Amino acid sequence: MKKLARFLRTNPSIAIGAALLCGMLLFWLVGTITIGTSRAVPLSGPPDQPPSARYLLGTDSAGRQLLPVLIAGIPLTLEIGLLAGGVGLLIGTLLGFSAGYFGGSVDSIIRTTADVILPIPALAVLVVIASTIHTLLSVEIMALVIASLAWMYPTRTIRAQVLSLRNRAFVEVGRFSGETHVDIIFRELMPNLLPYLAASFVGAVGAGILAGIGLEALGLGPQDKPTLGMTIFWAIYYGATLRGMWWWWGPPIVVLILVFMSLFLIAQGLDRYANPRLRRTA
Amino acid sequence: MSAAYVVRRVLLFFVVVWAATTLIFFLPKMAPGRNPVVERIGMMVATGGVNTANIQAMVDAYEQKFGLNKPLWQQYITYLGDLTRLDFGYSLMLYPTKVIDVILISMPWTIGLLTVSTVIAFTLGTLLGGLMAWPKAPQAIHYLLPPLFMFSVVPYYLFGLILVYILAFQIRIFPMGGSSQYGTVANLSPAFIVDVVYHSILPSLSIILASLGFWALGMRAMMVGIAGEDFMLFADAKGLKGKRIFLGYAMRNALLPQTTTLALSLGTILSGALLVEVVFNYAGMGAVLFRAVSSFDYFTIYGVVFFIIVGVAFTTLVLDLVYPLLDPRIRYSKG
Amino acid sequence: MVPLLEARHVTKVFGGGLLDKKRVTVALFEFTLGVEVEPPSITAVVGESGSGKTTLARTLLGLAAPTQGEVRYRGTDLKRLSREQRSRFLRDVQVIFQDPYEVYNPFYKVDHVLETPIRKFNLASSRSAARALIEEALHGVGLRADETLGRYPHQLSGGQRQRVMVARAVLTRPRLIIADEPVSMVDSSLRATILESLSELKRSFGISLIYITHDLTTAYQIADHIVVLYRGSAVEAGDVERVVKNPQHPYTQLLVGSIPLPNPDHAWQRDVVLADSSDAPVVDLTGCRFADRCPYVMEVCTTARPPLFQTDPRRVAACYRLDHAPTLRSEDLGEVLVTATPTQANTLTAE
Repeated sequence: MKKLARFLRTNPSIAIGAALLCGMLLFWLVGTITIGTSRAVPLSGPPDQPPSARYLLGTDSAGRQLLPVLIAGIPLTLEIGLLAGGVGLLIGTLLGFSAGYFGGSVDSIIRTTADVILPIPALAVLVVIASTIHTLLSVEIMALVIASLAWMYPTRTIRAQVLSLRNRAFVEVGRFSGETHVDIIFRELMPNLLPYLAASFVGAVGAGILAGIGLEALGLGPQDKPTLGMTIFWAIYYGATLRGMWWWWGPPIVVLILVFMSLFLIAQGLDRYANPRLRRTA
Repeated sequence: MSAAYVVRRVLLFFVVVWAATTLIFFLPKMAPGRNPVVERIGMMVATGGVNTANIQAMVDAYEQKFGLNKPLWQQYITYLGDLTRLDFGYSLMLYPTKVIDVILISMPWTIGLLTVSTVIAFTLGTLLGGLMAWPKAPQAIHYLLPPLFMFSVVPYYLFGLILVYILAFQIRIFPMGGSSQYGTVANLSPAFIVDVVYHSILPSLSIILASLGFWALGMRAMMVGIAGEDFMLFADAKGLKGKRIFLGYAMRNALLPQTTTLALSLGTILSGALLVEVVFNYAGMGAVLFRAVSSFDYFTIYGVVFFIIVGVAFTTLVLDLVYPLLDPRIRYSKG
Repeated sequence: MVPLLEARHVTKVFGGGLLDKKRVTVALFEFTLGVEVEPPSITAVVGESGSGKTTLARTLLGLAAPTQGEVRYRGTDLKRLSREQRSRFLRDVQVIFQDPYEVYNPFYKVDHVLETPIRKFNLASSRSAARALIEEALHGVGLRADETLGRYPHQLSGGQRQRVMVARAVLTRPRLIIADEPVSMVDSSLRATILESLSELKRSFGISLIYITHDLTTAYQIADHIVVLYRGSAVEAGDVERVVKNPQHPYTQLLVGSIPLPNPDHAWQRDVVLADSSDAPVVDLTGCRFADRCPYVMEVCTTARPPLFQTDPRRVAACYRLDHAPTLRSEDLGEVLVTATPTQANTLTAE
C-alpha cells in the first residue's frame, strides 16, 4: 500500500487521471444504486423538460429521464473502450512479439500488413462496416469492429520495443540456462514491457472510445442502448442543439471530456514511468 | 531523394488504396447472407417514394454489375473498374443524381474548411509549442498550457457542439449552421464570400481550438529535447541572437518530427473535420456522408469513403515526398 | 577421439549485403580449433580488439552462424542438433559474458539467473535442494548467499555480479566454459580473485575453460595453452610457457614486448618497431594478414597465407621466418594443445 502511495506521489498525472476515473465510476455506482436506470426509457417523464427538482437532468424529446440515461451510458461507453482497446492491444501484442522476436519472414509479413493498413483512415472503413450491419450492432460487436482496425499501431510499437530487448545479453544467458523461446518471451521480455503495455492499453482504450463516438455521431451505434455517443446523436437528430436543450447533450459531453482527460493523464503518466528518459522534461 | 524512393512511395500509395478498397468490398460481404443494397432498393420500392420505372432501371443496372449469380471475383473486378473511373453509380436518396456529382459539389467545401483550419492550427500550435519550451519566451505563454491541454483531449465535433451553444445560441454572434445563407446560390461575389467566411468561422474554430493543443504539446516536447543538444549551446556561445537560434536552429529541427506527426494524423484530422461538418450542417462531404448513412444510401457511402481513403493516402504521399526536402539528412542517405 | 567442441574452417564475414559491397569485415578466417576436455585444461585465446575473439566465442557457442565452415558439438553440426543433443550441449558447454550488468534481466533479483537453470535442467528435486545447490555454487566463487541472494543486480558490485555469473555457469557441471573477457569490466583488484576461482574450477570439478582476453598477463596467469589471434586467424599457438617466454611470431613478440616490465635497464617498447596499420585494405585475404605491420615482412608474405609451422611438439606459429620447421595442418591444431601430465613431460612426439 505504501508503495502505491509513493508511486502515485511521484507520478501526479496518473494520480489525477485515476482519481477522475474513480470519481466517475463512483458516480455510476451510486447512481445505479440510488436512482437506478429503469427510468432511462421513453415516456418516463414529460418530454423536453429542462432540469428541475423532479427531473435532475431534465428529459429528452421521447420522455426519457436524462439522469438515468447518463448513469446507464457511462458503463456502456467505457465497455466499448475496454473491449475495443483490450482486444486491439491483445492482437497487437501477439503480432508485435512474434514479429520482433522471431524476425525473418514472420516479421516481414506482419510489418508489411500493418504498414499498409495503418494509413487507411479507420473511420472510413468502420463506417462502411457499421452501416452494413447496423441492425446487428450491439455494444460488443461494435467494440470488436473497432478493434479490428486498432491493432496496427500497438503492433508496430511493441515490435520496436521487443527488437530493442531481444539482443540483450540476458536473453542469451536465458537461452543458455535452458529457456525456450516461449520462456524468453513470457518470462524475460514481457515483464520488462509491462509498464509500456499498460500505457499502450490506456491509450488504446481512449482511442477505442473515440472511434466509438465517431461512429455514433453518424448514428452508427447500438440503436437501443443509451451510450454517451448515441445520446448526443439523438440530441442532434431531434434538433436539441437548435432548441437550446443543453441538458440533453451537455452532460454526456462533460462526462466524455472527463473520461478522455483522465485516460490521457494516465497514459502520459505511464509513458513517463515506462520511459524514464522522458521524466526529465519540464 | 532518389528515384527509387519516389517510386516506392508512389507504389505504396497505390497499394494502400487498393488494400483499403478491397477491404471495404469484402468485409460487408462476409456478413452472413445479407445484401444491403438489394435490401435498400427493396425498401425504396416498398415505401413507394420513388418512381418505379427509375427503380427498375437502378435494379437492372445493379443486377448487371453485382448480381448475386455473378461469381465474387467478377463482381470484384467490376467494382475495381468502376472505382478507377470514379463511377459510383446513382445516389439512392437523390436519384437520379449520380454519386460522383454529389461528391464533387461538396468536396470543395470540405477541402476549404479542412485546409484552412489545419494550416492555421498547425502553424499557430507549432509556434506556441515552440515558445512554451523556450526559456526566453514571455511568461504569459506558459499559462496557456492547461487550457490548451484541456482542449486537446476533446474530439473536434464535441467542441463544435459547445461552441454552437455558446456562440450561436446564447450569444448570437454566429449562425447556427449551414455553410451559407439559406437559399443563396453559390457565386463568386464578394458578398457571398463574406457570407461563406462568416458561416465557416465556427466550424473552423472548432477544429482549430481542439487541435491547437495537440500540435503545441507535441512541438513543446520536441523542443525540450532539442534545447538540450550540444549544437544549441554552441550557437548560443557563438553569439547568435535569440530569435535566430529559436527559429533557425531549434524550430527548424523540431519541425521535422512534427511534420511526421502531421502525416500520421491526417486520417484522424479528416475524420474529425467530417464530423464537425455534421454538427454544423456544413455543405461538405461530412454532411453528405451523414445523410447517406441515415438513408442507407450505400453507393454514396462508398463514394465518400473512397474519396476519404484516396485523399488521406494522397496527402500522405505528398508529405512523404516533401519531407526529404526539409530534412537534408534524409535527402542524402539511401532514401 | 571426437573433440567436445570443434570449429572447422570457420569463416565469419559481416556486411557485404546488397547495398554495402564495400564494407565487408572478415571477422574470422578459416579458423580451426578442436577443444578436448580430457584432461581438463585452460586455453587462452588472446587478441586485440578486432581480432575476432568475440566472434569466435559466439560461433563456438552457436549464437552466431559461420558464413563458411561449421562448428561441431561431439561431431554434430550445431545447426543440426536434435532436441536432446541440444539439451546435452547446454549442459556441457556454458558461458560467461563480458558485461556483468547486461547479463541480468533488470526486472528480477539475481536469484533468477541461478534458479532458472536449476529449474530448466531439473538439477534439484526440491526447493531446499535447489537452495543448497545455489549456496554451494556461491560459496565456490567466494560469495555468501545471505549477502547476495534477494538483491537486484544494481545493488551488487560488478565483481559480485560477475562471480554470480560464474556460479551460474557451474551449476550444470559443464565440461567446458567459454568465458569472453570475463574480467575486463571488473575492478583490477578483483580480477585475480575471479581468475583464481576459474582456475579452481578446473582443479575441483574438472571444468575446462576457454578464456578469451586481450590481456596477455592474465592469460599467462591461469592458462595452460594459448592461441594468439590476429585479424581472424591463429598466428601462434601452443603451451603457454613456451609461447610467452619465447614468442616466435612477430605479432606475439609485439604483444609480449608491450607488457611493461619494472626493469630500468629495459626501456618499454624500444625494441619492437611497427608500421602503421590504419589504412590496411579491408578485404585482403591473400598472404599473411600481419604483413602490413610486420617489421620482418618478406616477398613471400604477401603472396600466400603462411601455414602453421611446428617448431616444437607443443607450439606452432604461422610465419615464413620459421619455414625450416615442418608444417601442421590446421585441423591438427588441437594436438599442440595437449596438457602435459607428469609422465608426458619429456615426450617429443605429438600425440
